[in-house]
Amino acid sequence: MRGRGYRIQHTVTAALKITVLLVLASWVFAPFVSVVLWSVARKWYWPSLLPQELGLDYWYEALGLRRGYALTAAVGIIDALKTSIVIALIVTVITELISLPTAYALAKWRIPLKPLLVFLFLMPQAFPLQPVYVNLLLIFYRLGLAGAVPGVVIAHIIPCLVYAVWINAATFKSIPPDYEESARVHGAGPLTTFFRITLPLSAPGLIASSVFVFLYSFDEFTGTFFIGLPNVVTLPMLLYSASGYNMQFASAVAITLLIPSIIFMVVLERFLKSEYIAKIG
Amino acid sequence: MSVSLDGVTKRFGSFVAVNNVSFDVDRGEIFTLLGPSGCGKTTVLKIIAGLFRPNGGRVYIDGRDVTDLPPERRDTGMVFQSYALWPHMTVYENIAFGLRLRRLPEDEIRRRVREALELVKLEGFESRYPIQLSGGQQQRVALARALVINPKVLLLDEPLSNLDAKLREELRYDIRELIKKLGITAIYVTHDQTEAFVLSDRIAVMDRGRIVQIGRPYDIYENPRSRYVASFIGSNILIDGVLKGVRDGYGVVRIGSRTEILGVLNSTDPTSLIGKQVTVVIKPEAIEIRKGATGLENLFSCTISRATYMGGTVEHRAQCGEFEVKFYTPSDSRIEEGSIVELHISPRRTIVIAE
Amino acid sequence: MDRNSVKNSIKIFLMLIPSLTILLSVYLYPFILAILISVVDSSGRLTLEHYSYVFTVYAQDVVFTIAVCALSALVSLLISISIASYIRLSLDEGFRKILNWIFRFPLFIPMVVVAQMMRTFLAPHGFLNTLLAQIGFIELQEAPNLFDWRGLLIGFVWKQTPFMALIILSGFAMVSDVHIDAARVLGAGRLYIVRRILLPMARGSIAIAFALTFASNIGTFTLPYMIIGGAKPTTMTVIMAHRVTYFGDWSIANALGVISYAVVGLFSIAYLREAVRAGVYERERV
Repeated sequence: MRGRGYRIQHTVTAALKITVLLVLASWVFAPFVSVVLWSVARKWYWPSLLPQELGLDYWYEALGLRRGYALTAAVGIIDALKTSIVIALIVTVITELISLPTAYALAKWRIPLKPLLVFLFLMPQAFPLQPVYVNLLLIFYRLGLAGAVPGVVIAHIIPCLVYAVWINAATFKSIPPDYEESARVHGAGPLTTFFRITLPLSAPGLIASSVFVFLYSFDEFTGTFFIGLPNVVTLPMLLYSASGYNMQFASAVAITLLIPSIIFMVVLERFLKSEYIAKIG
Repeated sequence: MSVSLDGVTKRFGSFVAVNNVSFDVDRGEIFTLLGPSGCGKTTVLKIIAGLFRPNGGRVYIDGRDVTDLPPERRDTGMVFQSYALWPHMTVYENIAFGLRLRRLPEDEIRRRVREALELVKLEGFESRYPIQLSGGQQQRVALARALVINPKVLLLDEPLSNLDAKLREELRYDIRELIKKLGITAIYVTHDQTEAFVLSDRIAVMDRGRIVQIGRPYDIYENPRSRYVASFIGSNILIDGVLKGVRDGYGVVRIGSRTEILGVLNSTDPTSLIGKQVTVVIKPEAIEIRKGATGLENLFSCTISRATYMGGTVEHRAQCGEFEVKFYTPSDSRIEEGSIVELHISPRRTIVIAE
Repeated sequence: MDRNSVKNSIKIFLMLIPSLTILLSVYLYPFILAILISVVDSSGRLTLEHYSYVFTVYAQDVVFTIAVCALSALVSLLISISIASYIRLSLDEGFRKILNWIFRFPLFIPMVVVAQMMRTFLAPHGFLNTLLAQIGFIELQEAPNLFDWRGLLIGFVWKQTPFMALIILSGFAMVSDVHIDAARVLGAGRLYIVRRILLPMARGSIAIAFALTFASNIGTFTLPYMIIGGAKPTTMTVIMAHRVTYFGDWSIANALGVISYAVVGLFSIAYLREAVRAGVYERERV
């Protein structure tokens, strides 16, 4: 029979597990709860733990449905959202187009000076990007790209390209060469093989990298700050400028910023999971 | 009794990996769980080690119920199929691991590691890393690591199956000798029947989570109790038939429309089986070529359908009317395909199994 | 060189040219420009005056940046090792699943939102202090202002821990079950297994996780800019931004940039060397 010692030990283990989960959950979710509360707080005077009065006023204001007392920002949330989405879409398309051939070559071919190339493609991840943006601003002043959307797009492409190349190269590498070789043996040319065999097989990986790039650009702060301001106001820029004078409005913007990443992550997780299951099943 | 299992069952989801397994192992005995992969033998071993908790049943080591104890409090030693030597530790550190956990003084640890290395004949390998050792050497380090803590029971999970055939043959004897010298209780898991016969005092044959027969190696081989054991052990020929009667203490089995074969019938009440479906188990080594013999039971006139050179022996397949057998001869006594021979199948060594 | 290999080289070159053009012109060129600008004075002569300026005026901030970023990475490391160990060694499937889901949450939150969260969360009368006051930990009248190294530390740890835990978890996953089982059978408890088996065997992943997190902390601009801003001491990234936007001074900004390169570079080399060394043991034998 199970002894008393065993029961006590079991209770202690269970209590420890629950404590671990609670501590971790409050650590992870408390700041999130805080920003959500701020975005719907109408009146919140200390020392109250929760707001005294709730309301969606700041959301109406933020969404431009109502002109309010706090709306001093030059750009509304809708305009900023549009700018952000347009930039992120352009960045995603250009980045994917540029990264595909490079990723393919890195994954499938023997390339001279490969270590050097690999190092170059790792640099933007390893070293701080800010000094690059600072000097890019200097260069873009002269070219008239500072404070303009194309300049911001270029700034975003730098880190995105590196991520896209690595993710896409890993995807191409994961496709067994047998598929391509048998297509070639059966008479398909290299381009036909790529478009009919390689590309469809790597679709999940390419979609994943596109989503990743889109979100990176959508959330990007530093590059836009140096290259884009004051003319190009994306959501992160709006959040930054609002957080200085209006906590509630800034909190509403912060939550808006989260929406696409959460949507994409949920969709992507589902998508990749079924893909994965299909592979082993 | 050193190790006892009482009705142990383990499920993974809806899959029953171990089904109501019970056995007792005596002190100093080498007990082998034999079966094909996936039969649950490794799961049983892991339950004894405490790595799996059974869903039902009890496990006793030295008379103490250890079912609810975690592995670290059971005092077992285990050798894994892949050896599981820690790659970041030297041979010395690998072997000393269990001793350090027992907080022994450093000089005793040193002494016992040295003794363990002598035992497995690896003196002087203390400072090597596992990656610098051959497979056989790694296997011996794993053995030393399990033995150095003086476990109450030594568990071995297919310890030889990653080695090449030559080395495997040699190490079988070494392992048996070593375990017997130490007088330790050992439970050995393997799918290799020869290994089981050479090593074990007793063997338990497993099939789909159950133990189907327990016995000394001789009994398992000579007296399989079920069709499954008979087909798994040796290279027996299995023939279906109907029990017609009992003559001279042998069961008479009718095969097809006119053939009759005699064999040992293991039953307390043989007459009750008359008219039932049975299986005749013919061992190739129980078949003799008899020229011009008459008046013998189980004498059949057969045509050699195929003779295959196997290196050292020739495997012959022979069609004996309504059934087929195979038998082996030395390679210099090959019988030509198509020739007709008289074959005598010894009734004493032929088994009739009722199911 | 035969005709085929010439053709091949051209093919490779064409495939690489778009991305190489981008990286060389808008990444590597400004990267090198940072070094050049930092060692040239207004009349175009070589000089170290910008560095000596940085080390007289901003020495405190440079040390502050390195210290806070290293400390944050260290705290993240401890938490993520605990989480990864729990997930790797727990036998309770349900617990493992919940833990696995909770700890990832900050991965999906961009740094700029983290900064805003921390601004509301850590404010003198923000959520954290009010919470602590309710429990009776502090007096709200004299609530501490956390918008200094502490705010930065909390923000960095909150954001970086899941990423680190994922890398370490993948390192732990490479340690096969039998290596853990072998230790358990010999009498090792969980802590002992973490210390003697998991950590040493996953040394490479841990080193990489630490180096990446530290480098990312050093290069982060958003969080310190929104949490500390111009208060003293602040991070190199914030000063860099101030030098450029307020003073139009690229020399000092780039000197700071090159220092941050050097810090990250030295750190990565030290840690990656350790990782390569550890990799010798991590390779599984067949």
